[in-house]
Amino acid sequence: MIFDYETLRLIWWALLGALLIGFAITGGFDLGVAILLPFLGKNDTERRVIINSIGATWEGNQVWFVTAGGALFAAWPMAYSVAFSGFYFALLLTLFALFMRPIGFDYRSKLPSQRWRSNWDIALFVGGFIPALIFGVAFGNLLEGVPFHFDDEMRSFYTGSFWALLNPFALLAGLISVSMLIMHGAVFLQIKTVDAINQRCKQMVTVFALITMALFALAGIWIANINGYQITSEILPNAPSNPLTKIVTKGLGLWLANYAHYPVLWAIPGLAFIAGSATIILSKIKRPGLAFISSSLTLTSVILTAGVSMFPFLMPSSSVMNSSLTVWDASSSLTTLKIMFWVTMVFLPIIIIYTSWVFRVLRGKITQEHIHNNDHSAY
Amino acid sequence: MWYFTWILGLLLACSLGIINVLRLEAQEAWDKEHISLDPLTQLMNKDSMIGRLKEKVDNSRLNGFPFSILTINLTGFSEQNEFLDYEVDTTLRNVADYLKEEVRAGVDIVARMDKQTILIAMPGLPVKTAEQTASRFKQDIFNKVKAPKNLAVEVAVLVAQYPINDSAFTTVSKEVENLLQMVCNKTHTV
Amino acid sequence: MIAENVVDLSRWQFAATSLYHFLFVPLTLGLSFLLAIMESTYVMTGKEIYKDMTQFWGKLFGINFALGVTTGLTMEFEFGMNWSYFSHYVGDVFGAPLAIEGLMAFFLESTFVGLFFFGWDKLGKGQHLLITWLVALGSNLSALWILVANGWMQNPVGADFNYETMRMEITSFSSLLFNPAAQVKFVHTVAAGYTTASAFVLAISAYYMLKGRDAAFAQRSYTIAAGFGLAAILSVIVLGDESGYTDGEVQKVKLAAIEAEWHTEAAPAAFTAIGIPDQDAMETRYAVKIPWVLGLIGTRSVDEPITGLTEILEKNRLRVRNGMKAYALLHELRQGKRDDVTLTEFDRYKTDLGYGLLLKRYTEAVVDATDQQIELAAQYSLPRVVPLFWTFRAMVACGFIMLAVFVFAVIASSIRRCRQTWLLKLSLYTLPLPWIACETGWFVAEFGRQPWTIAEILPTFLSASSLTELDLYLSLAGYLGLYTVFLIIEMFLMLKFIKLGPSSLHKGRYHFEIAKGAAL
Repeated sequence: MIFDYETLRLIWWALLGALLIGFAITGGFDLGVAILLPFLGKNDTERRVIINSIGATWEGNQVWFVTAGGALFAAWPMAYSVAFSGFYFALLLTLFALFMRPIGFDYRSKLPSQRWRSNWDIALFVGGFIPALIFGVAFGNLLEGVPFHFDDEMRSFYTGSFWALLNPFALLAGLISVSMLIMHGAVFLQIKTVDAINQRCKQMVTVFALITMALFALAGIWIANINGYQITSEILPNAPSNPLTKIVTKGLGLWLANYAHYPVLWAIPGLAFIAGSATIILSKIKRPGLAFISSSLTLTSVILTAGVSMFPFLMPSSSVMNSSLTVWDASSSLTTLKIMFWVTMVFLPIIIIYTSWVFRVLRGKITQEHIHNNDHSAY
Repeated sequence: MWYFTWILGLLLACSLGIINVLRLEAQEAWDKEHISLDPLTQLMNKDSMIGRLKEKVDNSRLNGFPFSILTINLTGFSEQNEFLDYEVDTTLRNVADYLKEEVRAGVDIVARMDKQTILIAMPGLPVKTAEQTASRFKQDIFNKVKAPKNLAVEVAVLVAQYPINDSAFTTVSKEVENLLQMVCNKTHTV
Repeated sequence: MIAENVVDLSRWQFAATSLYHFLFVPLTLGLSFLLAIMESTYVMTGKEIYKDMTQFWGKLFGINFALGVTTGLTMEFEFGMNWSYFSHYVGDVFGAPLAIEGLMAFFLESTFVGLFFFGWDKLGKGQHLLITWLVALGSNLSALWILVANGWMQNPVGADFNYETMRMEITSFSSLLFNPAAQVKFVHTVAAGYTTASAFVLAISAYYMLKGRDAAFAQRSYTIAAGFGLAAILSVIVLGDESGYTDGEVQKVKLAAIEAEWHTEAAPAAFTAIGIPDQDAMETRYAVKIPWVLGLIGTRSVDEPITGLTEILEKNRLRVRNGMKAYALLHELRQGKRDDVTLTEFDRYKTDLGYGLLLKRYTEAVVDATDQQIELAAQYSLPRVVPLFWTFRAMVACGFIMLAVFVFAVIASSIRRCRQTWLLKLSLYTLPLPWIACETGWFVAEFGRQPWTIAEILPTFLSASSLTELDLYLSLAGYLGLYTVFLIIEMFLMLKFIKLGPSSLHKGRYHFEIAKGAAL
């Protein structure tokens, strides 16, 4: 099969989205559980139960994030280089927060001191909350456009500040991210725990599913009233990647243009509300496995909504609009996209198969008794 | 080309590691077969024990950790002649089996010193722990091991802490003999 | 042009974070295989002691692995955060191995490592053994891909410069994968990892034997580590030699710098064991030379010469001038003048474009460089010799000492005389050597590539992100601060569990325990 440049670019936009969504569905509940840790675990054993519910699988889940970053570098190197250097402090903060996780999970229960353990519980909370918040904030800023431009040797210059990233719309996006991941984490915990913790989870699922949907609706209204971006020059989807050759304009409500063109796309945000409600119901009727599926669908539709509304923009520039990075002019070469495509097609199914197998082997509840029996080997 | 060499080299290296240790296992198995054991209980007999004891005592002294000896004396055998021989044997074997399960394999040594005395050498155990272990053994033997009603069990504990000032500990073999003397005199009965 | 301070700080930061990351990686690479060996022995013999070994050394593996993951995350972010022009300029080529590393290796390693620790009760013996092997395979595959990427930085094959996108683009993926630099680096680096893990287990087992504790456990661990380690250190040395040979072919300037080979000597060249190299005078004072050795290693022949730095400098002066032409032509192409003549001319000179870029250090416009600036740029194209000279020799010295130790260890363990105090003490003191060798080795590899990030294509001073000094000071402080705290915690936990030994498993079989699952 020979794909042309246009199709491969489109496929890679979808694959990047798939990797990000994959991270949200897998790593997302790890972040959510970590955020819930100090609140749902009232004593040391309960907290260990919560930690061990994700202890064996969280590392594999984080690889979705690592691979998404790698895929961004491989398929959209311009976006990777502009975003990672532009959002320097935001990423630094996220990185430092993420540091807490491998060390926190492994080292927390290795010493008996309560002070040691409580401090690591806080660290794990931070390690869940900050990344969840910043991912949303980053996405929100992408929708607003960030100030960057290139010189004629394609060196990028980011002219915004860290504090400018924390504007109201971006913070709203951050809150959506946090609350949907908490909802997702609570659903997962509901699958893995019993008794008191299980009860507390059910409450959390309902509360945060409602918050997520409310904030999402708010974001939807808001986005219709901010400037979106649109390419007005002719799009050459098979041309070599050079973002400087196009013309871009800003306009109110342009982020809903794609939805206007293809009204069937409204099903995506619609699904967010349907799946979100389903999650609440399924959780309440004690079918947490199905609730997990509907929760995953909620996350998928929220992320997809944002991605679809931005398409074909990856990273709009608010200062020099023509430098914006889009799907058609920020990608790697055809050869690279092809190679990466085939590698991904081979390995992604393999990964999904063995990951599912691991989750199956580790199925079952984590109880306080399990912690007592495995005091020295459990996390 | 080098990638291929890597796989080959790795397999070679792993095999080297495994073969090296399997050789060790084979040699140790051979050794084990040639150590003289007490036929009834399959524990070490007095002579083999004294040899191992020398090593272990030396080791503890060199490295400064305590060394405990527990003796389990099944009294009541020689006093009453009403027990049949096989009952005595069975009891002894049950006690031996129990002890084999309970001690730390590879660290502790259990030996049968004479007709009714079993000696357990437990390197690294300090006084308190040794006493706790001794009383636990005594309890368990009373409660769990099948034995005739009049069986009495006495467990004695001797713990040596290093460094020691006792001038009696001159040469190694003399140490061991003295140790055993003290044990038989029941210096610290539980 | 980015402020020189920002470039220097970025370099310091990248060096610090990657050297720090590499404190933990070699142990992961090697110990994962040692665990697989121990567990294989368990499955083969059925003896519980081998399961205990797998679990105890596995515990230490886990403590180390946590920091390997933590510091590894930094590396992935750091390319984009601090080296964004690099990421743009070579992302098309460099990004692919990194992404494949994620898909092929990280997923495998991270998914199964959880089962390794927590699946003992849920899996059969054979299944769990497979998992351990897969974790080992995953960690080694990740070394493969990152070294394919780094190998390309040293020897940029299979890629071409595209003036329309202003970046390097892949022309041949197989050239990238089978790059001789990548191949030899990969096997050398993983072998170094195997050596590190073997030395680690050897030293700690020796410690237990010296303390007279857990003899059976320690002796078996020692024996396995000795066997595996000997094979590993032999591979490291052989492949180090092969690296020298490959450098002689594809990275001549690095070989010349490491050896302080100022002039092309008559073949076969002598190896300078010790001396005081002086870059300004282009000579080595008090040199102690071993005749013929360098020529034999570097060219595998007695008649092919090793190119000296002076000769390379001469060539580079010409290359800088070619680079100026290439740069001028590039500008014309970018302005829209894309006729056949310009294109052909550009193709003629574009391999030297990187040398032209060196001039940017002295003049932004490049095409107006004076003769003096051209001379400075040519001088700048050579790496600093003195640091390379000494770190290389430190690495090699450590390597040969370790070779001796492993030979003794294997002999002793085969004849069951491991308990010799002199050997145990030697094994214990060897512990820091592999770490010194690994870090100096990486220094040689990366510092020897200077002034380039991509050899002869992109200079380091152009590769950095356009950040401010403050940005760098803050991130540097953050990394140093956090990493120091983490290191202290990690060492504390490592030492705690090492001191406890297998008694920490609470199996009732070891020195500090009081039989059958009793609490400590």
